[in-house]
Amino acid sequence: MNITIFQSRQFRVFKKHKLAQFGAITLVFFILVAVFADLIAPKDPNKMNLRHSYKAPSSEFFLGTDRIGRDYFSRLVHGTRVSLGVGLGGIGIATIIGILFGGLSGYLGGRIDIFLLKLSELIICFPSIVLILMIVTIVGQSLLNLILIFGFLEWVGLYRLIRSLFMSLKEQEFVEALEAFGVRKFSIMFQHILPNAIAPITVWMTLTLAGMILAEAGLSFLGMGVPLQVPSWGNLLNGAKDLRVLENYPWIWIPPGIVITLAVLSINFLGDGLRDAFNPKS
Amino acid sequence: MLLIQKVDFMRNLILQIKDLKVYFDTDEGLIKAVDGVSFNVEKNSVVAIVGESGCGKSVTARSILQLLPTNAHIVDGELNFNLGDNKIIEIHKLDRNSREMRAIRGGEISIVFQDPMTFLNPVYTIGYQIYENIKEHLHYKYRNSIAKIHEILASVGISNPIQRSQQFPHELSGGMRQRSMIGMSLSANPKLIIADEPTTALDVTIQAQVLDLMKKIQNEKGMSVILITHDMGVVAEMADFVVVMYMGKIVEKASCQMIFNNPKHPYTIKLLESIPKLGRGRNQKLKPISGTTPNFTSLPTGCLFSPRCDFASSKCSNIPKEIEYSDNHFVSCWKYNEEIKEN
Repeated sequence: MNITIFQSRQFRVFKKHKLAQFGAITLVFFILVAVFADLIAPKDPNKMNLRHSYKAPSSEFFLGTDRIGRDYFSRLVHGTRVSLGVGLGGIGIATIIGILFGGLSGYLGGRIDIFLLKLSELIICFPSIVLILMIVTIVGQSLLNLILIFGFLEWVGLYRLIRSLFMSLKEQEFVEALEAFGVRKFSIMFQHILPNAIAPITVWMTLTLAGMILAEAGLSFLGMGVPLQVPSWGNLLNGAKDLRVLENYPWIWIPPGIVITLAVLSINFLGDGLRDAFNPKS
Repeated sequence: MLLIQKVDFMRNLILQIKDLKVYFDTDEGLIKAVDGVSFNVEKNSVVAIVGESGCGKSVTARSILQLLPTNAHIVDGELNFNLGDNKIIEIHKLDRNSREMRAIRGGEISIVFQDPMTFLNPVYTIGYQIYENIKEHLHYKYRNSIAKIHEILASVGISNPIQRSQQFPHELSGGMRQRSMIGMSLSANPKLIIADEPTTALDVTIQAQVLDLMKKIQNEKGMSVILITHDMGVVAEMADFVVVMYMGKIVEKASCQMIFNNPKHPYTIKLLESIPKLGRGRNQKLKPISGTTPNFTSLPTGCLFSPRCDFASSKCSNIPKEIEYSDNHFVSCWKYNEEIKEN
C-alpha cells in the first residue's frame, strides 16, 4: 500500500528532532493566537485612556498599559496577527515570484534566464535594509506596502535556489520522456519538475519567514515599518526607545522581546528540522 | 502532383526517411552525426537499427520526433510520416516546438526509453503518468480514463493493475517499470513506436519477456516498431528488416534473414563474428573488431570503415556508392561495386 506521511523516513527523522518539534508546536501556538486574537484578548488594542498611562501589570491589565494607556496584553496578542501576517504574506508573494521566475529561468534558459538573473543580481547588490527604508519613504507606510516590499525583495533567494534545481532536474531523463510524450512545457515545469524540488522550497520558506518577522520588528522599531497605531511586535518595542521606559517600565519591552525571540527561534528550529528530515544523508 | 506520387509511394509505408542529415554544432566544429541516411519502415513491421555506440542510431531515431539537443539540426533530408487516409506529414518541415510536433509525439509516434528507472517521474504514481499521455492526446478526464489505465497495465502483463497504478516508480521492479513505460507509450494508440535500447537496462530473463511482449503487442495492434539496439540476439528475435549503421552512415540494409545468413559488408560480418554462438563449445574465441571508431572531428577520407577493414584497398579512399546487391539488400562497399561490374 501507499506509504502514509506518518510512516515516511522524513517523519521518523523529524520525530527524533526534539527542537524542531518544539518549534512546530510553538509556531502552531502563535498561529492559533493570531487567529483567535479577538477571543483571547477581547479588549480593543487601540483604545486610549490617558488616565491609565504606564500602569503596571495587574488583574485588570495583564501586562500593564503603555504611554497612552492602551492595554498591553491586547496589543501583544493582536500584534501576533500583524507580525505573522506580514511574514506569511511576504513569504507568499516571494514564493510565487521565486518559483515562477526560477522555473522559467532554469528550464527555458536563454534570454529570459539572463534577464531574470541580472534582475536578481540588481536586487541582491543593494543592502536590503537601506533599500527597504528607501522604498518605504517613497510609497508610504502601510501594512500592505510592507508585505509587498518584503515579497518583491525576498524572492531573490528562492529564485536562485529554484533556478539551479531546475537546471539540474531538467537534465533528468524523465523530463526527456515527458517531452517525447508531447507534454506542454509549462506542465513539465510546474507539474512535474516542481514537486521534485518541494523539500528545499519548504526549508527556504520557514527560514525566510523568521527573517521577515525579524525585519518587520527591526523596521517598526525604527518607526519605518507598519504605521505606529497598528499593533505589531516591532511597534510594541518602538515604545521602549526611551531610556526612562527601559529603566522604569520593564513590561513595555520584556514581553515583546521574549515573544519575538521565541517566534524566530522556533521557526528556525523548525526549518533546521525540516532540512534534516529532507536530507537523505541524515 | 508531387504529393500524389508520395501518397502512392507510401501506401504500404508508415515512415520514409530520405537522405537524412543531422549535424551538431560543437566547439570542435561541425559533427555529422547522421549523414545521408535513407530507409523505409513498412506498416506492421519491425525495423532494427544496429551499430556501435555513437554511430548515430539514437540520433536518427530522435530526429524522427525532433527530440534533438538545441545544437543539433536537421540540415537536409525528408521525414515523411503516413497518417493514413492519404495524409502525409512532412515532419522535417515542422518546428520542433510547434503544436503539430507535440501532437505527433506520444500520439502518432511514441518512444520507449532505455532505462525505466530514470525515465519515470519519481513523484507521481504509475497510473497518473499514463494518464498524462492520455490527457494530452485523447483529451480524457481522469475519472473517465481510470478503466483505460487499468486495461493498458493489464495488456502489458502487469498483474494486479488496480493496485500497481497507485504505486510510485520506486515501488516497482525494473521489468515492471519497463512494462509500464511500454504501456505509457501505447496509451494513445500510436502507429509507430521507437524503442531506444528497451532491454539494455534489464536482466536477461526479463529482457526476453519484454521483447516477447513488444512483439505480441506489435502483431496485435498492427503497429510498426523501430528498434535501436547493439544486441544482435535481440535483432534476430524481433526484426523484419535490419539497418546497419557505422559513423552516421548506413553501411548495409537488408531483411533480417539476409543480414544473418548472407552478410555482405565487412563491418556487418565482423559485427556478427563478435557475438558468441551456442553450440560451438566452451573454448570458442570471440573476434573483437580491431581498432576503435574514428573521432567524428577527424574522419578518414573515403570509406569510414577502411582503417579497420581487412579488405581495404586503394579504392577505399573514395566514398563508396550504395548498390543493390540483391533484391532489397543494399551495401555500401567497393568490394561489391567491383563484383557487380564484372558480372
